[in-house]
Amino acid sequence: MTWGNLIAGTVVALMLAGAVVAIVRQRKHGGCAGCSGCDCKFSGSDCRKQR
Amino acid sequence: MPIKLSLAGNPNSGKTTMFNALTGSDQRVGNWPGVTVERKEGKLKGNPDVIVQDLPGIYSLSPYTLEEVVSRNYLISEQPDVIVNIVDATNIERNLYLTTQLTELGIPVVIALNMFDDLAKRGDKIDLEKLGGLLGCTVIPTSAVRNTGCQGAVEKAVSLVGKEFPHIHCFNEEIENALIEIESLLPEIPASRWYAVKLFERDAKAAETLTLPADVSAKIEAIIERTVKNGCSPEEIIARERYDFISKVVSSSVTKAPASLDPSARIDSIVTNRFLALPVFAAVMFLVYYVSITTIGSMGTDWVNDVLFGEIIPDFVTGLLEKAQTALWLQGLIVDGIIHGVGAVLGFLPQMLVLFLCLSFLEDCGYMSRVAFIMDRIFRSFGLSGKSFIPMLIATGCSVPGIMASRTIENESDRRMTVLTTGFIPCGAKLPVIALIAGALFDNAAWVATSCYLAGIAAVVISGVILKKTRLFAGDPSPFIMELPSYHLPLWSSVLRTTLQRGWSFVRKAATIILLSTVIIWGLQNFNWRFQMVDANDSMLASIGSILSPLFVPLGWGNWRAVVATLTGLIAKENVVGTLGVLYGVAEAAEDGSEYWDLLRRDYSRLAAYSFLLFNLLCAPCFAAVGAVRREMMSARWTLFALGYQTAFAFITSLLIYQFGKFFISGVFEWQGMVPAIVLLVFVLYLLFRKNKFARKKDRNAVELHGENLK
Repeated sequence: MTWGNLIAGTVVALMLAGAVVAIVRQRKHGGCAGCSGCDCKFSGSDCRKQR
Repeated sequence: MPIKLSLAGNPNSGKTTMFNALTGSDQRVGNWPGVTVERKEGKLKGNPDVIVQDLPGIYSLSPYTLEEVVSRNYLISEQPDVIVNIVDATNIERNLYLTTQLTELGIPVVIALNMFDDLAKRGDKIDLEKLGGLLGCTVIPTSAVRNTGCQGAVEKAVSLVGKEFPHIHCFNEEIENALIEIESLLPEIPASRWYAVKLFERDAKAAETLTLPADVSAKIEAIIERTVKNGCSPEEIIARERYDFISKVVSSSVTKAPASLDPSARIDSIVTNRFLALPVFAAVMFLVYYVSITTIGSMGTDWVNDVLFGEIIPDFVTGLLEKAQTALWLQGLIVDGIIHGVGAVLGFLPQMLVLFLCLSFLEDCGYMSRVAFIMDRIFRSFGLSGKSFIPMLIATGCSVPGIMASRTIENESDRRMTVLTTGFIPCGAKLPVIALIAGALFDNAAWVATSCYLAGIAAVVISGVILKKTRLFAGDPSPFIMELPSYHLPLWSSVLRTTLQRGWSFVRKAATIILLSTVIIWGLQNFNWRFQMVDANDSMLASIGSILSPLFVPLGWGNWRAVVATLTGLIAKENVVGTLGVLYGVAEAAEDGSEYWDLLRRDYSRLAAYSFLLFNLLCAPCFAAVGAVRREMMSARWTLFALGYQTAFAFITSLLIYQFGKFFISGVFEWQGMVPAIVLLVFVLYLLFRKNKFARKKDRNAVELHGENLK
C-alpha cells in the first residue's frame, strides 16, 4: 500500500465516520433536517450542550 | 434552584424575537401567528440561573388548539416563578384579555409593552404608570426586534420572584363576592383564584383537574345559580366583564392619534383585492423565482457548478491523487463519487440563498400572512381552511416544521389533511431538483420553478376537494381568524439570519446525509453482486433500478438512473441531484466526455424531465418528514395512508402530464399509454365532481332538526 492510498483512504474514512456521528446525533435530537424550526426543547447554547 | 421565567402572550406579539434576544438563540420567528408550536427553553444571557421559556401564543387561558394546550398546561400545572407577559402595544385591547387571566394565577407578572416604537410612529400615547397601576403590574416599553427594553423587563421580573402578587379586581362586586366564596371552598392549591373563575364559568376541564367532592360542587353550582341572572351563560358574563374592565383601562391610559388610512391598508387594498390578489401573488412568486433561478442566483450557480466543482476542485484533487499514486478506485470514489455527488448538490447553494432571501423578505415584511388570507378565500370555496396554508408557508423552508405547524388547527380531520398535503409544497431541499431540471432542460426558465410552486398549491386544493368527499375527512373547514400584521421594512439582520440558517442547514445536510449517500451510490454503481468492479450498466444499482424502472415507463422516465435517483430522494430530497451527479458524473468521465447536463438532455425529453420533476416534488417526502408525519398523525396506519396517497397522487399526475403532453406535442395516439391515462383522468374527474354525500346528509339533518323544532 502506498502512502497516498493510506492518507487518502484515512481522510475519506474520517469524513464518513464524522458524517455518521453527525447524523446519529441529529437523529437523537429530533431527527429533523437541522433547520431552526425543529421540536427540540432546548435552544441556542443549551441545545449545543445537549448535543 | 434556577428561576423559571415564562414569556407568555398573544400569537405574533414578538415572544420568540424577545426569547432570541434574551438567550442568544436563533429560534424561528415569523411575521404571522402560530410560528411557535412547542415550548422552548434557553438560559438568560449573562445569568445562567434564569431559564427563559418561550410559550406558543395564546389569546386566553381557554385553549382550543394543541399548541394552546401546551401553554395553558405549563402555566397552570408547572407554575413558572415569574411571567413576562408580552403585549402588542399596537393592539392593546385584545392583548390585555390574556393579561387579566395571567394575573389570576398568583404568579408575579411583568408586562413588556412590545412594538412600542411602532406605537410611537402611529402617534398613539400610553401612560405607562397609569396602565401599570390599573393592571397591578409593572409595565416596561420594549421593542424585541431592536432589543430595547427586553433586559429591563427581565430584570424587573427576576426581582419579583418569590414575592406575593395580588390579583386585580376586574369584575363587578356581585361576581367578585361569588368568586371569593368559591375560592374559599377550594383546597389549598396554586392559582386558586383562576380556578375559582374557571369553576364559575363551568369549565369542565378545570373541574376535572380538581376532582372536587360532590357537596362542594353542589355548593359552587348554587353560588353560580344565585349570581347568574337573565339566562346568560357564566362564561359570557366573565368575558363581558373582562372586556368592560379592559375598555376602562384603555380609555384612561391610552391616547389614540386621529384615525387615518395607514400605508398597510392602502397596500392591502391592492394585494388583497378580490380580483387582483391572485394575479399579484402569481406575479410575486414568478419574480421571486425569476430572480433566484434565472438571473442572480443562476450566475452564482453556473460558476459553482461549472468552474468550482466542474474544474477547480476536481482538477486539483485529481492532480494531488495522481501525484500521490493512489489507486484508481480510490480516485474514482473521491472524484466521481464524493466531489461529483456533493458538488452537484452544493452547486445550487447560490440559487437557494437568493430564494431564501426573497422568501424571508416576503415573510418578514408581512406579505406572506396576506397570502394566507387570500388563500383562505380560495381554500374555503373548496372546503379547506386558510389555516392549512400557514403550515404550507413554513414548509417552503422545510417540511418538518411545516407539518408540525398543523397543530394550530383544532379540527382533527382538517389537521390530518394538512399534515397529508403539506409535503406537496416545494421545500428548500426540493429546490436543487427544480433548479437542475430547469437549468439542464429548460435553459433556466423561471416558469418551471413557478409552475412547481403553483402545482404544489393545486395538488393541495385537488386533494382537499377529493378527500373532503370521503368519510375520513368530511366536515366543515375550521374557521380562520388571523390578524394581519402591519407591513414594515424587514430588519436586514433578521432576514439575513433566516437566510443563512436555512443555507447552513443545507450545507450541513450535504456534508452528512448527502456525503454518505453518494459514497454508497458510487459503491453500488461500480460493483456487481460478487463485489467485482464493473461497468455501471452491470452494477448492483443498475439491477435494483431495472427491477422498478418498467413501472415508470408510462411516466416517460423508465431509466434505471432516474429511478434510483428518485429512491435515494426518500432519504433526503437533495439526494436526487447528488445521485444523478454521481451516476452521470461517472458516465461523463467514462464515455465521450460530454458535460453532465448534456448527458441529461440526451437521456430525457423536456416532457419526461418535467414529469420526473413533478413526481419527485409530489411523492412521499424524505425520512425526516415521514417521521414528523408519524409524530403528528400518532398512528402508523395514518402515516402509511399519507405516504401511499402522496405517491399515488404523484404517479397519476406525472402519468397524465406525460401521456397527454406527448399526445398534444406529437399528435400520435399511442393506445398503450393513452388508454390508462384516459381511464385515470376520468377517475380523477369523477372523484373531483361527484356529489358530496356527507354534505348532503348534514343538510338533511339540519332540515330534520328544523322540522322538529317547528313541531
